[in-house]
Amino acid sequence: MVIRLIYYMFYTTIACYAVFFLLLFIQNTPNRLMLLFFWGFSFMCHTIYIVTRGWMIGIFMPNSILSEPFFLPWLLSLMCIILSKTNRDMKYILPIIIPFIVISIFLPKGTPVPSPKQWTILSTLFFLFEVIGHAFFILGGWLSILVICKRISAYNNKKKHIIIIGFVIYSLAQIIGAYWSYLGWTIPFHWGDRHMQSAAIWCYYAAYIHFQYINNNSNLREKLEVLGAILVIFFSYYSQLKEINIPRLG
Amino acid sequence: MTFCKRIFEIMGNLTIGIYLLFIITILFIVGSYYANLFPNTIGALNDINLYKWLMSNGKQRPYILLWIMSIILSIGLLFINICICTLKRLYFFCKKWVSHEPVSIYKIIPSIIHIMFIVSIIGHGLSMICIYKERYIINIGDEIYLPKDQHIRIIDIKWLFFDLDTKIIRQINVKIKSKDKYYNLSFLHPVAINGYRIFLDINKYNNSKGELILVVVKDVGSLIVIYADLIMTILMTYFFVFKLKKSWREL
Repeated sequence: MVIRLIYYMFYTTIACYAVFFLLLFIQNTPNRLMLLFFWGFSFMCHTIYIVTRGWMIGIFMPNSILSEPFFLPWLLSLMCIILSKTNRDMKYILPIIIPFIVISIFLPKGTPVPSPKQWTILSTLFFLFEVIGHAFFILGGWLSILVICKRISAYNNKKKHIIIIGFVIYSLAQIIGAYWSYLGWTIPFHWGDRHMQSAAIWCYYAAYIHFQYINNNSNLREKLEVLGAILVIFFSYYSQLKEINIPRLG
Repeated sequence: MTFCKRIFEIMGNLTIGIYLLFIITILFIVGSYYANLFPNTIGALNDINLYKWLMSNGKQRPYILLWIMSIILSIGLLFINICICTLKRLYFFCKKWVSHEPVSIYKIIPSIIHIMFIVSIIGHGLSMICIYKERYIINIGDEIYLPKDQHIRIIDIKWLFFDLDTKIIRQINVKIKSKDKYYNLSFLHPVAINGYRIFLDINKYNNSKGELILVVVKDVGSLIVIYADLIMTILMTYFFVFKLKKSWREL
């Protein structure tokens, strides 16, 4: 019964977002208050869905809330609305969440059977910071695409800061993850695909941050930001697709 | 002398460091692809030291050997690059101190971050070279013999479930005995016995009782990596929060 309610909430969220984006795209000069109301309602449904996922397996498990395919669009939605100062901003920045919501429809909604090594605050903090870091990188990449396409220009400086904040949060995720990996799997860095993907993302953004000291070419920097976001999305969803057939609860 | 100076200048170039970071990114991407294709070959690096790996797994697959050599070489070059860059920066601050010019602590933080990164690379290197790791499947009453005539006896194993219907394991407590001393071992709570770290692991945890494994590890590198990374991340967070103080408000 609870699980059915959780699923209803997911599809309600999808429907609400669909109405919101229809309003956003169809109307030439949409009323900002009305837009915010529809966004707020969609976001509220989304929040309820995300929070209730925590009880999906019958006992409260915060890691189910932080499952990337569902938590990432929620985070992006929140970050986009904070960044959008005008209706025009909303029209260009918010659509980044559409592909992530659409993909989440097709991915399995259940939670993989939790390992006894997951019942620790370290794993919760790791997933929380990792997804937040990813969200910052993806948002930075999306703003760069908008700047390259000359849709918005006021975000030139902001997107660089967004990526730097993302890098700091991602680094926090890495140290927490390293300690969790040490306690659970005896070493802080594993020669496995998951850890090497994280290392690749970290090295890429470390190079990006240092890059500004040798080159002021904003065109090249924007391309690097877009490439970084593509790398993050590819690795995040690649690991989701790899785990598509594992047994799940809920 | 001029030649050495030239090498010193080239190796301490920031541009080279950035290119190396991009190269390492590509090598890690290739590595993650290889780790998917050959999880056992690459995964063996987690359990045995580099020399043993080169003699066994490395010989079997030359392209993986080439990849691991490239990654070690690139990280080695990055290590030298960061060392030189940090030395140059510290030399600059030393000159300022000598001439009694004020130096803000905020400006020294990036150097400390880089030193911690160097220490972290050393830790990873130590782990790769001198890790000792053995795995033992355990049951109640088993005796495990460690090097230097030490042994561990498994006294008791307790499985704790959230709910007996769902059979989701909450924790497993293993009571072990070594030299008349009792230790409680469980997941994420390793114990230290005579210089060895003992960890608990499980083979299958999919709704059923799996095989319990005792992992005996001797590895100084891991702790160095964790402490260095921790200091580096704290300093980095402080540095960027301080630097972006105005930008937070803008955002």
